[in-house]
Amino acid sequence: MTDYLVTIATFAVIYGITAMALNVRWGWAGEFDFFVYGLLAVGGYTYAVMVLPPAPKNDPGLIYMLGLKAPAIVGALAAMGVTGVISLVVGAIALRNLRQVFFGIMTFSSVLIMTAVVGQEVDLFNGYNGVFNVPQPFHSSLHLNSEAYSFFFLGICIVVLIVVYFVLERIFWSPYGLVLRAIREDEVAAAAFGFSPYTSRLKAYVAGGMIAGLSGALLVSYLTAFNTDAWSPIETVLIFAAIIIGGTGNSRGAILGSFIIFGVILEGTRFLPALPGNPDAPSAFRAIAIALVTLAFLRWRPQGILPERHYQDRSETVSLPRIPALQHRGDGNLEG
Amino acid sequence: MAALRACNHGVLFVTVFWDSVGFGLVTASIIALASVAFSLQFSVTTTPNFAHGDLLTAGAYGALAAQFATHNLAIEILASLCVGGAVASILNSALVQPFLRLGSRRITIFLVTVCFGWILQNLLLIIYGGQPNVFVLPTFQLEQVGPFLWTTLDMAIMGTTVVVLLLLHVMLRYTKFGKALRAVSDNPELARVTGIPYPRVVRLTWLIDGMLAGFAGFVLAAYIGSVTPTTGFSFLVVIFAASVIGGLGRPYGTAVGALIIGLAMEISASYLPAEYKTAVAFVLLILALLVRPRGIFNTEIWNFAD
Amino acid sequence: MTAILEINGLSKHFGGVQAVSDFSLSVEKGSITGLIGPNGAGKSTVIELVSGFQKPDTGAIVFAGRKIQGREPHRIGQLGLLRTFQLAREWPKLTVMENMLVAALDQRRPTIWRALATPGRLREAQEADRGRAQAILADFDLLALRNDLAGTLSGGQKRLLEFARLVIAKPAMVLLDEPLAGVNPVLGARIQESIEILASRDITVLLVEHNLRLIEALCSSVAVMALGTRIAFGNMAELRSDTKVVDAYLGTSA
Repeated sequence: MTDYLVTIATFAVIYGITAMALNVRWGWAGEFDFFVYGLLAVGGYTYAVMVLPPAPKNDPGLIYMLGLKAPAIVGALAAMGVTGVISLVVGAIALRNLRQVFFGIMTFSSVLIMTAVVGQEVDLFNGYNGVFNVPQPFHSSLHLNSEAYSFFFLGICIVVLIVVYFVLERIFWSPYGLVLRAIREDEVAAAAFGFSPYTSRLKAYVAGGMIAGLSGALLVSYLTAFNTDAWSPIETVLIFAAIIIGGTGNSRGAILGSFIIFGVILEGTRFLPALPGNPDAPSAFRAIAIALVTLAFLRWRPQGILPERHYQDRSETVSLPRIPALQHRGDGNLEG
Repeated sequence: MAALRACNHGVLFVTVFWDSVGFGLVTASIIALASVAFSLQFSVTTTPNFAHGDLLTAGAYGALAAQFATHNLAIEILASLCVGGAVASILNSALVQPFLRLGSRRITIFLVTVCFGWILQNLLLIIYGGQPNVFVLPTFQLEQVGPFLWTTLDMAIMGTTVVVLLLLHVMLRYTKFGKALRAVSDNPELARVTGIPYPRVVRLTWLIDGMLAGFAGFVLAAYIGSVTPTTGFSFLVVIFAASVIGGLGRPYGTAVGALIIGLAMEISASYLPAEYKTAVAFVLLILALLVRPRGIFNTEIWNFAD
Repeated sequence: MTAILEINGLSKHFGGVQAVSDFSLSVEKGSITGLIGPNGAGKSTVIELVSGFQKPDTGAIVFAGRKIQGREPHRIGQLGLLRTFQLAREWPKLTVMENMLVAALDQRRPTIWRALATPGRLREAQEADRGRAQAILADFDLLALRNDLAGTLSGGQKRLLEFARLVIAKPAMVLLDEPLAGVNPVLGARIQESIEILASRDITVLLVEHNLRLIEALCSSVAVMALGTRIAFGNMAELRSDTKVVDAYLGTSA
């Protein structure tokens, strides 16, 4: 039973980080972006590629790419670097010209295509079978049994979650965070006040992308395998659902939403019947359940459970005299 | 000797080229059916419907269900029309309209359609399972028509598409509803004020969109030979490509866009591995989004003289 | 008397329509200058061109010694030239105080790097901004609403918030695009006071308005536009007796 709970918790934590990444792009910057899941995958693959050892000679079926056998941290940093660069390039082009609908179309199509293309490049990604046997961080150095190790790994994930959370919180409350939200609200007025919507959005885009890449690295090292079946846009919808339910524009909401989706809903509906001859039925039921809950939230509580927070000025206000009205200056001179 | 071989290569090259043009026209027809429906709906409602691909799938499965009951082609087609139309109408009445009445932002409607599509896909998954369901059709022979190599199915597809598009054109140009539709897409406020029954136009547009999409789904499934719950969904990239190139919300432009995409996909398949066909459509989509997101036709939506 | 804004030979057409044609104007530093003219004269287009939201076809615009024609709006904002819009543009899902804090920012401050590296200094600056914001909000009678979402304010309050944001931003000059449009007389008096507050803080004002009473009350110099170009310049007394001006307005009362 604990093993089971640890598994759910680990998924919830990892996807919580992904949800926070999506929140940066969508809740803060207002960019409707399907590609987050694609970046998760890219991050995961980069991590795997960095961390795997060279292919064993006696196993011609498995072809790994670089065989660098790098330590986990390097793999994670590489994942963030690659996703950061991709986000920069894509964002630089897309944020200049595209908006809303077009942006959604583009990012949506990108994920669909990635699935298709990656499936073809067998050499690079080991095709539809995916990359597997990815070594886990510290696994070889700490000699723990698998149960203890899973706790340890969960601990790592939680630490990463907390770090990301605090970094994002600091950004949220900073002048940059405030400007980003102003741009989301009305970019014309923001531009008139001297803030560049393009630059600020691009920064958010890259930051969100890097965090998504990081969560991808965690996911791959947890699963020790990754295949293209997991790369479907449908999974992206889960992350969106997490934010919608948990609270848009809100890191805590993202985490809460992730726990609700991956913890409560996925597990609560686990007891639904499996139809004979149809192994996909239970997960399909779960998916429908999540979609319905999301629709309900969109209808009755679009801001989610935890609403966006604001700077609250609770300080004592001194009673200040109003500046007396100035004399009319029909002749161009000021009278005080 | 080398010259002769080069000549042969040249001839083969040309033959392959014309063959792929032929395939391209067939593909373009299927794309046209699906994307003109999308553009038509978008022109009236400006609601991006991400469940559109699933309308195709629904129509295909409708036809499949009919196939289990009878092996009558006409009934199968009818089933695809009915299912497609019904699903689209449900999406509109049960979800889109209520949310619009709430004053929801476009992004919210967008998400609503995504959720709906998701539910649809998973329902089909529960009912039919994820394995491809085979379509049983009469066998078709390959024929040489001019420089092209087509089966009777191919020619049926192209013929039907032309007929459907013509019917659409007639409807848009000459019927009262068509004129109302054009008015609404041009200027919704003005249309409302001049007494055009806006809600009815929207409902009918969704219905037509669904029927057309359902039929397109049937054709697509017939062409591929089988259908899975994600068939229509995967086709979305191609549909978007055609719609964006032709102009989102411009049915006539989209038809041309479909032609461009279909030809590009098939011609490129002669020189690139066939799996990359969709990637070609995607690249064109990206180029279009970057260079001319409003579509290659820079004129008004409706290219009529009146 | 130095000119802070110099416009020379500005022109702009949209489709077939020449909205602005060879328009020139020199705005004196520290003044409240008016820009009036009948509907369709091109006044708002001039504002759009000067603030960077439209690019001119020809002409030069020099602000505080720098060429700004054709530049991006945010660059022009950074140089200290701000504007209002015909419909008040607040940031609706931010609180009134947050609106002020954004406006108060020095544009170089909002970076992610600074957010992570120097939070202490940022917090101090924000505290200082908060104090200034409170004082200014008090002037505009918005202090009690400071934690409310700006979108929940009444139309008049949103207009005043616009002015409050301008004050805290400390620009060198502002372009006011018909601030009295659709405004009742009581609010109109408050807006007049708001403009006077701006002037009292050494902010140059270019005021585009239809309401000639306000223009007369505030402006030392007024430019008149018709059909895209300037037809007169002077104070209201001079303009009243200028036949060109009277003709342009076709007898519209002031």
